[in-house]
Amino acid sequence: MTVMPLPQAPHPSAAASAQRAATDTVAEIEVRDVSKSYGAAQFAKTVVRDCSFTIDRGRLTVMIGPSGCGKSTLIRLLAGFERPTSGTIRIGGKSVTEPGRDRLVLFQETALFPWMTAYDNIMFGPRARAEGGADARKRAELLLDKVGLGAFRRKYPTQLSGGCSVAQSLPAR
Amino acid sequence: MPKPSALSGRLYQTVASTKFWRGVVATVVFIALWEIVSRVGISRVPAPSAVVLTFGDLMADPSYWFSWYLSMRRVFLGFFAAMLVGIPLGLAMAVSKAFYGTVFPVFEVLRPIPPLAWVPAAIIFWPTQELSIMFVTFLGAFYAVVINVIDGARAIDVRYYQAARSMGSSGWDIFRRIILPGTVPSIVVGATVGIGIAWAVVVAAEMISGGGSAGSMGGAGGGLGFFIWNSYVGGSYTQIVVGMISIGIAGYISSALLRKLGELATPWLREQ
Repeated sequence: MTVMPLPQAPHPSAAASAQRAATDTVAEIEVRDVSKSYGAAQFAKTVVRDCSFTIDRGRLTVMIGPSGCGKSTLIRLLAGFERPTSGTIRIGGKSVTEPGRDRLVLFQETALFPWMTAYDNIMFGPRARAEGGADARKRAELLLDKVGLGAFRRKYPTQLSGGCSVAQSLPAR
Repeated sequence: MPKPSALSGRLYQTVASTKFWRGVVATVVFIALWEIVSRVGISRVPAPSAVVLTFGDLMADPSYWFSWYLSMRRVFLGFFAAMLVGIPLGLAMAVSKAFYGTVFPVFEVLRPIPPLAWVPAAIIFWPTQELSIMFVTFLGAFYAVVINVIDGARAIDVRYYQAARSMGSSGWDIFRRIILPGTVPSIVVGATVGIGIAWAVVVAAEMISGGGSAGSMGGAGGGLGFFIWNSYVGGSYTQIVVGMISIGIAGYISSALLRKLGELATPWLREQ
């Protein structure tokens, strides 16, 4: 699973450019003293303990580690799917407490909805946000064509090859 | 020369397959053995040839077809009621822990009671015998539908919820576009199992209740279960076997219809 903060719109004025230069040095992702435990009281198992790091905007960061070291847990915390037991996570200066549209989540295994066609999968987000108008529909068609799935817009994920499903995951998110 | 259609192609493949002919041979051998056993007097089961003759006579008897109508009406009305009540109830229990905690214990206490055990109570509590029989078929299908809906909703992959939430879905949106369609395959399974149980129950309910209000008119007019019972009381053993085969055919038609509806409701599960 990968979490990517989505880029913000560029500031138009010179003053705004200066402000942007200043904010460019501010960490996009800030994790402070985050711990995550599962279970209650004396049966609690701590998976992440006092984790702190910052990731600047525009940097590609990869987490590597042995199996079970807490990578997926940290990713789920960054995505907002779970809340830390203690500590804070901020992205773009805002606290992360739940999933949000400001973060793009790509799942390790495709999370395409099997009961929706390729087109409907891409339109899921806009429709969920009541933004499923003509522009969104046009953009969905363009995205499908861009990843080479234009001819498969009415196909279901189970009818696509593995590669096609992966190709479709990105525009769907 | 016209191209063969997909249907004729599939038919040809079926008829040309070894599996098909094995089934045909096994069926023919079974019927032949049955005929022999009946004719030499090893058992009192009527011979298939006698059953076929009786079937032919009954085909022209309106009361036989009225029995079909009555049983199908009782099964389908009870089944539809089970779906109308069972699906929302199952979904509510799946999405709300509080609701589940309140309702499920009562549900689980009532579920082991066989639907047929409800027949005497149903006859007392419902104003007409028809309603009491339909109540029993309702119970037969209801539990299967609810259990499958709950399990189906809970089996939806958590990634779908996560993906939906990360794209800004509200709770209602998740229910409408994730939980509902994600549960459809389980609803189909529950419906298929439920209607089979409803058929098993209706036959016995008709035997016990004397065919409902239609049974009091005598003859075969009380449903297929009453038809079988009446045939036994009247000593017509070939009619008993005809009744049993009729129930098998009726049950098969019901299940086949549901399977077809299930395929239409789940296009993403179709083989390509």
